[in-house]
Amino acid sequence: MTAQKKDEKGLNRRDFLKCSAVLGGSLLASQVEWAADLMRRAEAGLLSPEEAYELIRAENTLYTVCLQCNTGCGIKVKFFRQGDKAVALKIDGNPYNPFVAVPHQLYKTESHDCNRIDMAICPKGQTGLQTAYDPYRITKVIKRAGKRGENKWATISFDKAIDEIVNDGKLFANVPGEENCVVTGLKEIYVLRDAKIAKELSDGVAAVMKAKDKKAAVAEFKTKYAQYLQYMIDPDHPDLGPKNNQMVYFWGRKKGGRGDFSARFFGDYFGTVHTHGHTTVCQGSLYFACKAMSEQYENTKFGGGNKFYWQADTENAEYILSVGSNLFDANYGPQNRNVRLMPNLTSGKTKLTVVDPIFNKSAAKANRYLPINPGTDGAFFMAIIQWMLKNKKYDAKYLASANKGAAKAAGEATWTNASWLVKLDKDGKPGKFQRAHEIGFAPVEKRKDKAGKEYDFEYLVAMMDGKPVAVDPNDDKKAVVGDLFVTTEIKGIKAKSGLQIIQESANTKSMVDWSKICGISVKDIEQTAVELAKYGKKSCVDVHRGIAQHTNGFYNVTGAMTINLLLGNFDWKGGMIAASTYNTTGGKEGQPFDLGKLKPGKTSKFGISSIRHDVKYEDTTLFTGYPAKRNWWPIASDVYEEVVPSIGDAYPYPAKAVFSYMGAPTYALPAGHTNIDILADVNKVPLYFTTDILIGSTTMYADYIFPDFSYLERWEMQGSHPNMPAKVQPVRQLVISPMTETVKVFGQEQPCCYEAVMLALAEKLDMKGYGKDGFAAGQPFERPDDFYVRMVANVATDGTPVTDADDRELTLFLDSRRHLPKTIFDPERWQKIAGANWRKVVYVLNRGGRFQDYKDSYKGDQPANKYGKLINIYQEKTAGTKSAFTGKQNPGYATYLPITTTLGKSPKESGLEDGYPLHLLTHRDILQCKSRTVTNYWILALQPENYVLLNGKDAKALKLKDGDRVKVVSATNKNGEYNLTNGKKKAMVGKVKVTEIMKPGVISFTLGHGHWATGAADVTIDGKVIKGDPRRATGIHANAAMWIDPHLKNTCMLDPVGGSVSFYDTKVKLVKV
Amino acid sequence: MAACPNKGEGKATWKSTKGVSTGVVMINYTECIGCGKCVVACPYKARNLDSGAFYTDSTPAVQAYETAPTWEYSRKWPRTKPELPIGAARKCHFCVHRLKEGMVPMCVSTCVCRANYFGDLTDAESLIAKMMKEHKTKVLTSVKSQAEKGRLTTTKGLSAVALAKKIGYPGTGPVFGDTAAAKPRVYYILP
Repeated sequence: MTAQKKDEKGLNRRDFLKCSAVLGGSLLASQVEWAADLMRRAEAGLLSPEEAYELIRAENTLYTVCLQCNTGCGIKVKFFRQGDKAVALKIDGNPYNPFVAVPHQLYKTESHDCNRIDMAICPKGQTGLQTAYDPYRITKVIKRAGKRGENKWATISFDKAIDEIVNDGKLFANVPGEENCVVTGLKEIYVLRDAKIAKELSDGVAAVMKAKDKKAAVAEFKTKYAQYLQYMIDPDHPDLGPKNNQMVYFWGRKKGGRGDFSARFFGDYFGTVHTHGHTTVCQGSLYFACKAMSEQYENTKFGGGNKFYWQADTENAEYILSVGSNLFDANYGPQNRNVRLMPNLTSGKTKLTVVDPIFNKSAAKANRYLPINPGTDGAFFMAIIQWMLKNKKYDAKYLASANKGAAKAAGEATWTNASWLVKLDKDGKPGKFQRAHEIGFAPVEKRKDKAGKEYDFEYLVAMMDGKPVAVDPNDDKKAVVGDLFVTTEIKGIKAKSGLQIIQESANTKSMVDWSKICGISVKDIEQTAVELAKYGKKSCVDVHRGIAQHTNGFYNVTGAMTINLLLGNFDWKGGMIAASTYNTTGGKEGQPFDLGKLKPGKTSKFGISSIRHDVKYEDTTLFTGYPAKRNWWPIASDVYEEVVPSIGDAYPYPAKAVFSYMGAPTYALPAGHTNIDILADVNKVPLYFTTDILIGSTTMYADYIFPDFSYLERWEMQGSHPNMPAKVQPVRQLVISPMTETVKVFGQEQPCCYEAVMLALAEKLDMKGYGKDGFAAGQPFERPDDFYVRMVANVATDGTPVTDADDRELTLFLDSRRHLPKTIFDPERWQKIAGANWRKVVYVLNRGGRFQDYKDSYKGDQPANKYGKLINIYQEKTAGTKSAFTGKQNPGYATYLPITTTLGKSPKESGLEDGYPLHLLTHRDILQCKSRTVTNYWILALQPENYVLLNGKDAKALKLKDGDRVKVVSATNKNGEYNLTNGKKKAMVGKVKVTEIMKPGVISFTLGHGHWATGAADVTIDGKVIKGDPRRATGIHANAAMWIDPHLKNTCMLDPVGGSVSFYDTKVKLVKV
Repeated sequence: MAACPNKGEGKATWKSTKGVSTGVVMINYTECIGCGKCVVACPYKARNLDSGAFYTDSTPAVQAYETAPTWEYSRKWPRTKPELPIGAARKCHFCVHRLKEGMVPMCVSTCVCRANYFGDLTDAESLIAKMMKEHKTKVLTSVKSQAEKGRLTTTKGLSAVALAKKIGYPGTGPVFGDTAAAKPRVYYILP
């Protein structure tokens, strides 16, 4: 064997092995013999436990929930144990969980029997253990030792950090320029602590908001509450609320459980209204258009809408029109929807039409692909609506059902207001629904609401065979079947039916004109409409962020959902379905812990949030005409792009302290670089603390970072997604030992984490609702599990309770968690918390949550878990709002709006387009998710960097070829870079990839690369430099090229109704580097 | 396999004919000398040399999951330098350790589109045999090795990493030509 390689010591392999065999005595003398013997015994199944495949043993497996993206698939984490330590080595899919298994394992299956069943999980899910075992994780509290964003840090004790945040002080006296800077502590912000006074002031503010004469109302408020004015931000503007509102909390990827935990801390006890999620950076206008469609008629007006949306029942639909919804790579999620869809696509049972400027993976499997012009989805939908109405290809019976009674008679679970009359103003513009008493019949009735409070009930009106009849939407006895197309005048009031208004909207342009706008031929539009109609209730328009993240997103979504209403497919097997979950917070019969009530001394939060949501500009004391300085959001909430820029503008008031959780607006938002300037400014953001697992692209601008748990170390209630027919509640739980330092809160040793920070702040601020009698007398709230074990007990007992774990399951429960330290896992303590439901808790946790069986997801032709209410084809509430920029009324129905700035001007007339010929998009690939997966080396190895994708025609015109490096430049970012402050910059430069998947004129890049933190940059901690990993800094992130709104100046362009950020409207040019 | 200077059952590499591993080309790490010849010769780019690198090598700390064992050929292999299989040739082993537990290979159970099948071709009752009978199947016949293409004639002086770069492994997928010396074993099932 001449080719034997010598190693550094000059030994070849055989020599080495022989040598170590002799020295170590652990190997047999003859390697060959040994291997042959092993092989033989393996084949015969005679291996000793030492040699056997340990990862399949039930006691080495724990079931939990992924969070590498928001789908939250069920996972099983497999361990290798050494002594009392365990390291997670492999992640696969949890067979009990319908997000990865179709059909999923019967819930009653013993968990011992599932250890050999591995379900599929996407590449990100498999590499998740690298998120947890990331060498760049922080394990101790760090405080900034340099300027914001300078990446100079010092470790600090947990107690000292909490103390500094709560109390005043010159916290950064060691930083040049901040020697005399006194930072206001939380105790100065948390001033209104008396629940009774809070309630009084809250009522006073409500009166001011309602008052027509604001001046008089403010004067009255100041007199009435003279002794409490010191609590208010600005007594001249009482509607801003108490000083407590100057605490700002925003988050990115947060699920149930952790969400409830912080809602209790910041909302119920701290009393700030300024708690904002990130919805609008994802698909806000989809959520809020569907919320507007789900508002219910209560007490004479519309309210109580769900912040949610519908998706197609992927497994049973026979026709799916997928628009801007990236199936196969994303969209809740590949291991759920692909598996349900693929067999049907191959067999021909289901037809798929994909509409997207990018020929994505689902387009490759589709029956038809339509490359639409970006931002014109509304025009495409209006054309389809026009065709369906003109050719009478809609579900007339469904649409005519004007109330619950009619729906019941028609065998429908939902109904619409298509036949209700809408009043027109003098210009013929539709506004509110006609009330029957206004035209002299069905007088106002005194009724009582659920709480027993009396209210006036006003009947609505529909035409039945040309005669007006009174409509009570929720009357399930007296059915009203209305006429669909009505234009009328009764007692001098002109009115039209909802569907009539929509038809007129769809007919504002000819088919040819709609076709010209959206770039899809009339023939293709008509064929798509024919197919949609052909499959009727088993046809779905399935949409996602591709249509929502435009300045016209709200109306694009309204258009798509209007088509679904015309098809009458809601709550039908194969139609549009909604998510359904087992309740975590209690309060239902049989549930042991009503967490909504276990809130001793809870306060009231009130006032205008600093993103100005759930309020009309015109109702406030800040109204000064149009345009408003920034938008007001009566329809949307969780408007992410508003959070930091509103603080920057101090509109409507400045913030004093900011806490952020698992959010990276600087990276995630379009034009996110505008957020950097504000967060780095200590005058605009005086105190910024956060929890994170590492120093992230936004948290690098914080003053304090508390180390947090990764998703494998913590609790969360994942919930569900709209395409899931089964009722579920996947439970994220502790599977690996915590990596953060142990701290003491309420005298209890526990690892530092998100929850520990809030508990410690509560302790320091002497907040009610925490500590020894936090929930109630004798029910302590001192640790995260005090909260979460209660929640699991609620999940286990929602509806028909789950069975009790038997002894064998209980033993497995304990065995499989034996590596977890007592600071997070103490079965005796848990048992005490859960009480009589302890074995049910074990049963749920052994399965990674609670899941309705596959066979129970449907009842006949309808889903078992129904939405079952009115769906607004005409939105009265929306029609009652105005643009805060132009003062124009927002339409309450499907329509097409072109892309505009907040002032309603086209990008071209705003000077944004000229010289920038390429349309910039961004999209998801299955290999990356947002800002957090670049740390996973296994997937990074598959796709070390991303590219600027463009069509061959464009490449030729620009003389670009594969591998050329280009900079992405736009009118609002002419340097094509992120300014990271402190002299650091990150250029938006990436390699070109020429591909025919791109529509000519359109370019894109996948999300997830182009990092400047998250382990990519050098940081100094306690004077020691920790080198960044260049593998994490590769590729391009071109969000900063996306347009800044010319009026707002520090915020991306946005949808002023639905809240979505504009991700797909910007024009750019590529500059060769 | 043909290129191996130490081939044969029980030696460095051979095609198993016995038990559950029948049909699987096996590597005995304790016999492999790490010459890299099989890596160059493999037309499927299925083999590589384990250079002993860890993903977290150049970071603040090498992580425990990288040095934990793998289960291959029915044995536990701790991945700590300089223990085997570092330095040896490695390849897909069709998860023999799972097969003997009655489990399909990981690539089959983990596919989010359920695209692949695995089973005993000679067993008419097996799922794969049924699938092949029910559907039109096509055998990919044309694969060329790096050695055949003349890109690599020697492995001398090449480190495992350099070799991997030249082979393109882990790489951008196999390159199909018109002729192949190797017996085909990749089946595509067409609808």
